[in-house]
Amino acid sequence: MKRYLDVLWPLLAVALVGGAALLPSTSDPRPEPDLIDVVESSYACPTGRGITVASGQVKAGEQRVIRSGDDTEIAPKATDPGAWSVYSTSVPGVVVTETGREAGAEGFYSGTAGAAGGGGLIVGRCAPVIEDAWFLGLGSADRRSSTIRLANLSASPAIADLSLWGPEGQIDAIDATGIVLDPFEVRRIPVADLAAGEPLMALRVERRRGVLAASVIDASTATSSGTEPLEATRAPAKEQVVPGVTGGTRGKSLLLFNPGKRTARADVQVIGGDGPFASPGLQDLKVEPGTIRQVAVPASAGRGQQGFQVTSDQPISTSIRAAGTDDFLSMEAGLPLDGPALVPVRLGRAVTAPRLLLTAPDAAARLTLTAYDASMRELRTADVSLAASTSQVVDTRRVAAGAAYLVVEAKGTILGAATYSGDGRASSVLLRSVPATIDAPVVTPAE
Amino acid sequence: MSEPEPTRHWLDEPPTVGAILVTHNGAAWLPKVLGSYARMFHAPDVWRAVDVASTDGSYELARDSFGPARVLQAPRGSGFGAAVALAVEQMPRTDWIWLLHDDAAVLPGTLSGLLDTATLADDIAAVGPKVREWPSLRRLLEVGLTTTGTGGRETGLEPGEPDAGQHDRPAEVLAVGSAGMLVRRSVWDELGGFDPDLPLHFDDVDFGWRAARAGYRVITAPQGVIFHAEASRRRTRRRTTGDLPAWEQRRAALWTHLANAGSVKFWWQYLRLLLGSFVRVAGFLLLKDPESAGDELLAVRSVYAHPLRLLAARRRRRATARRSPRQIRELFPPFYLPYQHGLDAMRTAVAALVRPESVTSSGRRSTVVIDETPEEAQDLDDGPSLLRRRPWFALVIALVVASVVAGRGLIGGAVSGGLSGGALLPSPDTAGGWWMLLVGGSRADGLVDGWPPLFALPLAVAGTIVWPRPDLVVGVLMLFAVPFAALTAHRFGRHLTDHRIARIVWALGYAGLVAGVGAVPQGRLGTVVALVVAPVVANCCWQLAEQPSWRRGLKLGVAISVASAFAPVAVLLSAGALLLLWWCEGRWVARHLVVAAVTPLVLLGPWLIDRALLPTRWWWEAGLPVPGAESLLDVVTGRAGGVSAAWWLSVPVLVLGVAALVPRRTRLGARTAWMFGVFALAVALLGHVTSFAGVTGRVDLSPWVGLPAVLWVASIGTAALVAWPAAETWPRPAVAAVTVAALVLPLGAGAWWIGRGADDPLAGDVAAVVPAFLAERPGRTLVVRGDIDQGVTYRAVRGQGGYLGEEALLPGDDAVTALTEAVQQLLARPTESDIEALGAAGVGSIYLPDADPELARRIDGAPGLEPTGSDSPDARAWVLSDEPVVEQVSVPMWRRAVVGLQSVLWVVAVLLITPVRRREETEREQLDDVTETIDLPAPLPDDSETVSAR
Repeated sequence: MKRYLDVLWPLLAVALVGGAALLPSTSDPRPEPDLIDVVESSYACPTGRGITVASGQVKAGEQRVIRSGDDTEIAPKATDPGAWSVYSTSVPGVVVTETGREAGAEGFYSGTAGAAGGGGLIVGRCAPVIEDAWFLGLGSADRRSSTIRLANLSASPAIADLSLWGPEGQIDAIDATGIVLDPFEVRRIPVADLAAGEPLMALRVERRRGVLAASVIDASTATSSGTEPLEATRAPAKEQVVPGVTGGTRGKSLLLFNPGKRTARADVQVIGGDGPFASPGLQDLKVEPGTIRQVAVPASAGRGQQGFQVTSDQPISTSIRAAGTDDFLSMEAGLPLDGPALVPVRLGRAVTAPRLLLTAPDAAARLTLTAYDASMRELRTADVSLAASTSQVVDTRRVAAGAAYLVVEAKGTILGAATYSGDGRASSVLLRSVPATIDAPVVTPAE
Repeated sequence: MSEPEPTRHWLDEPPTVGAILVTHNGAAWLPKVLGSYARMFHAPDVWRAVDVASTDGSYELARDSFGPARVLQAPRGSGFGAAVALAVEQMPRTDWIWLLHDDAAVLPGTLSGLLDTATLADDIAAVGPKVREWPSLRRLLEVGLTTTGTGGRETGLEPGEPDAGQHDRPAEVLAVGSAGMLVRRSVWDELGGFDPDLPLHFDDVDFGWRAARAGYRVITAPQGVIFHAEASRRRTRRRTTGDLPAWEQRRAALWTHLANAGSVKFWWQYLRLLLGSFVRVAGFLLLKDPESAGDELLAVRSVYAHPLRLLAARRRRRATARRSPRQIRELFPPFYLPYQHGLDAMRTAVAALVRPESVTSSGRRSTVVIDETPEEAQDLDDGPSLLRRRPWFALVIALVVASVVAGRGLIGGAVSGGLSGGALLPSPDTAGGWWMLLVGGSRADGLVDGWPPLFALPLAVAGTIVWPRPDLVVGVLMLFAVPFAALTAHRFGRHLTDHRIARIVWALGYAGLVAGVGAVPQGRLGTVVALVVAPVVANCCWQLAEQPSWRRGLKLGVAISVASAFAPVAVLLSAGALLLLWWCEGRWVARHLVVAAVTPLVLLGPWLIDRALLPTRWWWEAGLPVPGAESLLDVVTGRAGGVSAAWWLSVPVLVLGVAALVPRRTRLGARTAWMFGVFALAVALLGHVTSFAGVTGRVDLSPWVGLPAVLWVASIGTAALVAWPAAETWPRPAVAAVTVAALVLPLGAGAWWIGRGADDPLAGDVAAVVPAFLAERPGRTLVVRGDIDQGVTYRAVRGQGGYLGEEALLPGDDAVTALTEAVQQLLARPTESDIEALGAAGVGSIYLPDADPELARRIDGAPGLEPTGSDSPDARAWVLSDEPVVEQVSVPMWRRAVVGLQSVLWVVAVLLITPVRRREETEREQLDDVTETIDLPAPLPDDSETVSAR
């Protein structure tokens, strides 16, 4: 028996190999993508006579610096990073930089345009840092004038490239690329300077270098006059939701922009208060490549609070323009709220507590509204529930009484917009999660 | 300067010659020497013999040969010059004096040949014969002499150079040896003969030097041949009271140089020889030759302590000098010759360390060839082919040639600038880089934490020899890894079996495993060195088991330390080997195994703790911690993934290993090999199922298990080798099958190795990690690779990239975290503070070699960065607007002290395991050899022409 004991050694080797085969081997494990804290937020706000700016944050920051276009610090009273600060200044634009981990700083502005500028209510979000921003509905004809505002948010030069498309295709704009902005410079560029005589345009702003912010203010002195800040709509995608659509059965139009090289076919599903439905006239909408198309929303689409869910076979961008008697609104496609969003309440005399138009495109969802005063003290909270695939309007006057701003947080998939109105004028601000955290690529030191 | 061919014109009017034979305990040679005088074609006119207090019967032999009247007796302690002077005084005046030694035999035509040349011109002061070794008779000892600037006696001949007539033209030289020197009497009188301060050594060099300064020429006369036993120089002469001490030879060299050096060069020589002597003392101590070190010091003291005597000697020489030192400059060898000899000595020392039995302690040629008779030397023929006579030697040469062929893609780079690629980083610009890594007081920015890698120490030592080209060390290691591994394996194999062919096949199989695992093309220097050293470790284990001693234990420990320095996992494998040895041998070796186990802990010290004792880092070998990609099949067949030979090549070895357990006669050895093999397999499998930490400290890298995987298969192959004697009795078909199976691995792996080549990813050009224009900027360059989806890796590189060894200096966890966060912010939403953080971390520029557009776009958005040109269309680069913070990091003094102490301990350990040179033993051995020579004297040839023809 003993002579056979040595057979054990090969058997032991086999057993070791068998045991190792049962264990998982290490094969280049890779950590999950990181969500990192935003430690500094910058935004550019238009200022000037009649315009009020509010700077706030969801969490007290460490420092807030407000600079004018020539890099001089201004509005010293508004630099408290632990407060909701409302201020105005005569300079044409300011750049605000707020530091603080997960502060979620944002700025808003409001005002009323003069008659020469359309006379509408202006409420908008100060332009944040952009990489690549898409704007729909610009015009330089038919008594419309859109103005692009570019701002360099840093102390280094920034370079921007602009591209414009019209209903007939891409527009060969003049001096639209390689626009150099000096540190903290804010520059206003009338679209007519780039492409005159275009009634409808889509704009793409690309940052080539530096820290850039971009926004557009669209004014009309035509029959349907008014003024509205155009917010960057969602980058082209095959499925988009435009929340916060309001107004009557007339005067609404859907803007569809196909930047690709193939014709896109889009279908629109209206998500109303009672649920989604497909509106005749908004189906199988064909958008030629490289063109923007304006489609009148038929009366069959109904009225009231709505969200438009646009599905296409090619990536497209979309927004909705709603014209009233004295003003018009622009509602852009957005992303579901995945974090707290700021809703300004105290924003100058022209603005009162807004209505929130919320859309839950998929499943039922809930929303929590928390009101804060200017010193960031919590006042009260309210919850809102949305049934699946419905839209709902929330009047915030009650919960926002005495508050400077609201913080909304969603549980579930919710998109929304805040609509401000008064004196027959209105303005819409898309609800966006504040930049408290941001997706970052997985970064590892090389071995 | 060659002289015209001499003619025998002097026979018309033969010059008178007085021959003087000096004897001192030369009875061993005298009978043949005296016999050779009787057969000369042309004999001297006058004979005198001077005996210096011989106690071995030399006086009687001379008296019987010459008669009492012609034999003088010099007092005890008289030098050669004094003895000659005594004879010159008492013999009739002759035109020439012929000096003869008692250990130098002449040929019939020796004196005639000397006179042929001596009578060519009147300014010839002396002529010397061609001196061949006695008793070998064929090797040249001298054809003229000179001396190097460091005091070495230089013959200009290669060691053991045979006489093939290559020096048979007379030439002017600085001096000729006193043995057989034919000197013109008038010059002898003018110069005062030999210097009494040089009683034995260098008297001939000094005389020739003085003659040259006096305007005379000293010429070699190769037609005259003598055979010289060099009894005094080789210390084979029986010593008696009054004989000169051993250090006299060095003293004479120093004295000769300082007495003859020109006044301009004197002080330079004075200092140079003094400092050089101290260097020699250090060298002797390093080579464990304390007696020679002591001799050197005594010689220095003897010369430098008597300045007045030296001045008097210089004054005497000035009185006869008629030519300037510059005019005789051509008679001295080139300045680099002593350093070339130093390199040869170092090579011998290394050989003594690696193969101590191959180097005799004495190194005397006469001892080595004492049993060679001229007949044997003359009858040598080519015999069978080299492959049949010395198959292993022939195969090693073939392996070297195969290495060159396999390394065809690397040779150019290895010669011109070094290798890099895979896990291998480039070598530093000079060997100083490795030294600074070890004991430097400060480190470059970013290299904050960690002990310097101890593998840099052997690299630094080896690199110092080729100071400006340390990459040659790594290049040679990588290029010739396979023959190196074969050599060490074959050496160990000699313990395992006496069957030469089986041993050779086994060694080639091991070399095939080293080639097949792909460590060389993957740039895994650690595995390469460890696999070369592994058989040495096994060899030391074997020696320790056979004859335990603390020195063998220490030797084993040093071998383990070398392997572990390059591949820390070798510590674990060695621990298994030591335990196995203890299990096999028990108490017999227990104490010595403790020495072997403790030695690596001492020699590798804190670095070992950093690497080997932290399991997460013990897989990190020399170079970058490039992960392995092995499958289970790879491990079982001795590979580790990546570039490697076919898995099935190892299968026959495994089969043979299993079969090796069958024969009862050899089962014990096979079982032992299997035990270690299974242990190595377990270690390899452990690496397969675990992960390890590299530079970043994150435990997420798949280990490279090449070392244990190869050792597993090698152990099984060893079991097969051990069992081979039992297999020899098997039926012939079975033996043939076993042979074929054993050849599969070496032949298959060799074919793969040669066919594929040893490069890729290892490359023969050191590719710059960053372009030169960024490397020259202040601060480090952040090299970013990858993309948003798959993730991004970065490396902060100083200059054009770090060198081998620097990768082991960790930047510190906090620094890594801060820099990683800054890079992540840079690629997410960069702000000015993020760029400032990069600058604070010493980053001055950012470089994307293969720029992902999205990454580039994001970096473009960073404030405080300025885009700059790049070296390729695919690359992008930015520089920080503000200057980065560049700081040299000071290394704590205590850390430097520890590393310095470790370096000293390495030296001490190596010295302790180096064979000791003991002069007394060697002299005794030589005397025994001489006695043998006396018993079996070598016959002398009849005439010089006959010998030359042979």
